[in-house]
Amino acid sequence: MTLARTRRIADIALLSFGLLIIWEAVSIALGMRVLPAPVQTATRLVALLAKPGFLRDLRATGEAYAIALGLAMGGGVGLGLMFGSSRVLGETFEPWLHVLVAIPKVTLYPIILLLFGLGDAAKIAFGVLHGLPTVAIMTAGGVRSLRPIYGKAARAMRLKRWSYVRRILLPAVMPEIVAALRICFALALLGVLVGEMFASTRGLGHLLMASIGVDDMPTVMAVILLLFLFAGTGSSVLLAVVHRLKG
Amino acid sequence: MAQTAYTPRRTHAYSVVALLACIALLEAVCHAGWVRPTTLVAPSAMLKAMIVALREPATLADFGLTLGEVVTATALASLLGILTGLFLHATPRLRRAFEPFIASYYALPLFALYPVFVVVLGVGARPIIATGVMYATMSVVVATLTGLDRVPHVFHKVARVHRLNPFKAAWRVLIPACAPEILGGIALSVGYAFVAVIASEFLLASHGVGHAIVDAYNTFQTERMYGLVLALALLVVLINGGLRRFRGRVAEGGP
Repeated sequence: MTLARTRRIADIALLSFGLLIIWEAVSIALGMRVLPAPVQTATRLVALLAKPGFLRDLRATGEAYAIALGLAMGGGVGLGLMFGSSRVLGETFEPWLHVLVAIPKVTLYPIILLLFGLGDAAKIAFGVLHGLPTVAIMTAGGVRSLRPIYGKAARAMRLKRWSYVRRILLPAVMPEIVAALRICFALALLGVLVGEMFASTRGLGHLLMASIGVDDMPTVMAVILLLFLFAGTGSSVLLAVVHRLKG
Repeated sequence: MAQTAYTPRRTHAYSVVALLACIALLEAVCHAGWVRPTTLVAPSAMLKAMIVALREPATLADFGLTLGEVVTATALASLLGILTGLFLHATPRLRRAFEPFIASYYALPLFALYPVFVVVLGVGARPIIATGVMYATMSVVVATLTGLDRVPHVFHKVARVHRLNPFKAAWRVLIPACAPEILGGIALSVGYAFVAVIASEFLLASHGVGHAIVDAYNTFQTERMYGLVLALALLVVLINGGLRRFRGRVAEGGP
């Protein structure tokens, strides 16, 4: 088991190395000014991490992302439990959640800006808009596939509604909630970043747009690399949790 | 286990009633003057603005351009995705190593690479199509892998008995066998191509529907902006509805 694990990690390292070589080759073919090479990108990232301005951007994005993720998960799980438990509510509102998932949400961003104003609230709302519908749909699906015996047991024990939700419903749909968290983790990040890329004055998204504007590709690549490392680590950890929960 | 499972995907009578109620409420709120018309316009005004916008040849051209980019990106992504899927499936070790990359792929704002595409491909539709391909390919790869996993072992045996080389085996046996999954993945990838194309137009380009919406926002044409968003949303819902039907039919007719 541990041997298989080490082998897998070695494979991932090998693949990462291969991808770095491809990146290097493409960068040589296109020229460093167009696509900075891995070493150049990593050096820029290290240099950026020592800059107070960059750390301010990082913090702005981090805070907005944490709030958006929390709201999307809380709201999504709450709505999902409601839609999953009540057939009428589910049939009334869930089709519109599916529509919301399908629409390219960037187009809705001007509307969000008009409603929430320029600033942090808009990008948080945008992150929530990206994550919440999927979480609600997945949670509701989890509730619907529960075995009816759980409800019967709760009735036999005369649980109050709140105790039923807390003691039975939530633990039973926990695998779906963690799976939803993994997807929401990525969607909310994308939402916040895209929110920052348009009509924003701080955050990593704004830094990306500003760097594109002055043709500073090393910074663009450094930010993308940082985001990739963060998203990759987070989603791998959550994937491991999902596998453990499912046994 | 799943005897009570149902998914309310189809629009149900209740949901239509709820939508109509929301529209009526919005209309009333706007007419009562509780919100400024520069923030939110009444649904009737949105509809009117949409019809006005769609009568302009320039807007129609923008829609045509965006749709063309989405279709081209989806076609290229399908080809690339199926080939990558076949290759990864044939090399299980590589595939397992790739999994973390696949899992975090969609969290990235990859359209930040747009300037690179502009330098390589020039200004215009091509860098946008490239961004669309980048986003749409991964869902085809994942679908192809899922499909190939479900191909019964006997199919591989049959290919070996007939001494098909790997290319013929893929073309004659494997791809037809997992056609339902692949087509499902392509239908999904249309959505991703749409998101990437609109986002690039919106943030970086100077043409297409995405740009028209930003332009209306920046020039304080709030009604026009809502009208364009409504038109685009209706278009996407229509296309998705059609694709979902298509996927349903393919799944029924599949092996």
